[in-house]
Amino acid sequence: MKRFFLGLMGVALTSVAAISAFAPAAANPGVATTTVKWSAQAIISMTLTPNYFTGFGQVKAVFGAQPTPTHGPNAGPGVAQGDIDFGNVLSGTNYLYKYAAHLNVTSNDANGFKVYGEGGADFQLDAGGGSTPLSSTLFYLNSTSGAPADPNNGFSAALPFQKTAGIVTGGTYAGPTSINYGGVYPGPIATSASATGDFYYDYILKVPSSIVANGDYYVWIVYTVVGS
Amino acid sequence: MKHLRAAFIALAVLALLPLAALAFQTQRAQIGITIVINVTPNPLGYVQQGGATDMAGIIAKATLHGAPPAIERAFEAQQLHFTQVNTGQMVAQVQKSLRVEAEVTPNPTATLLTTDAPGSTVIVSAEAGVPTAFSCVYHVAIQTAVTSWTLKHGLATDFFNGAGTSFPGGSVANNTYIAAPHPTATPFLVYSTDGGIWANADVNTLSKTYCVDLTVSMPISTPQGTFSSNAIYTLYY
Repeated sequence: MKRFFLGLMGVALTSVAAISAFAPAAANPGVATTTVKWSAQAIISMTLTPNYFTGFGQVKAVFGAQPTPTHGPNAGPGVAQGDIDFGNVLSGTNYLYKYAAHLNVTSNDANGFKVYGEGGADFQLDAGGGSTPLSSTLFYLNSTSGAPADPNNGFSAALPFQKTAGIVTGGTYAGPTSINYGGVYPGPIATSASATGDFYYDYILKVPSSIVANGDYYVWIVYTVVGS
Repeated sequence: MKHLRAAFIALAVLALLPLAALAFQTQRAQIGITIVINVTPNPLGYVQQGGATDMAGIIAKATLHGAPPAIERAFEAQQLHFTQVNTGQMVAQVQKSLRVEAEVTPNPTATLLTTDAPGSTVIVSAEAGVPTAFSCVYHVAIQTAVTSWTLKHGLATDFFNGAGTSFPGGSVANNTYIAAPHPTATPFLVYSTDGGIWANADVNTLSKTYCVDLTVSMPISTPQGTFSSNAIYTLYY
């Protein structure tokens, strides 16, 4: 019996030792550092609104009192609808298109974003057979939201749209058009240091005097927004 | 005496006729030439940082992203260490497009006042604060049988970039001549800021072609970027 009791104590002590070996070191006061790394997925949203304010449309370039804006049949009819349709224009003349495009950009990128705007092609005849270089025909300039009113005229300073060097998908009159930059972007037309922003643009059309073919010309302007 | 007075009056009328004709000239044609200036910033124009008062508080860092090997070795030689970034990094992008169109009709009468600037646009490059001259950047031609006309010119606005930054249009001077340049160039008048007037480029007769030299000397603090304005030429007779 005495031997059995000693044996029982031995088993108990062995069990305690085993449990102690696998138990956490509760009495150890050391602190371990846990490092967690994560990457936030950048999200960018853009709303592109053509003809974004009442009074949108084409105005022939004159100084002084400005003519009432007009537009072609494919613009509007309402605000935020249709194409940027200059309507009937004469070669050798400048035309302003008021309230052409509004870009509203929302992102979670605290570093801001860049805006790129390029043409998918030159300014070309819908029926084919002719084009005129985009960089000397279609220009953009800053406008207003509509309040205060747009102060531009057809002779205001403007910068040319460039024909893209990227890979264009679509591009027919029916469109739409997209550009694959392959990670190599052109110079931005605008930048934002904050995560959100609004950009308002007028366009100026300068039809070359040398243009010889009449008809319906078009180009798709592609806006791309990329996080900084 | 009476005959003498009549002769004087007739002489005065004859002398004033050309001036009267100029006074009653009306605008007949107008063209705009977009002048695009690619500005390189001038290092001397940078805003200088104030002097440090506590050297212990200065922390300097240098990073090098994807530089050519030769530059990377230069950094190594200077004991600057860096990590090559992942060139295949993902970027967030969104894209949308809109269609621009116009029904174009050639204008056979739009040939009286013309320019040879391709697409009525000229592009030059200059460094901020460094006067740079460009010879015969573009021509302006008048084709007419009118025996007395006036050509006026100026800039519509100052030079702006896409971000709304500008420098004065008067920073660009022109030398407009037929055969030989004038001794000096004249700064452009800016219609929107100089009283809504154009400057006389010349008073002349019949068809003429002018060469336009440009001298660009924008302020030294002008930032890097692409700036533009429109040079406007108006013909009166």
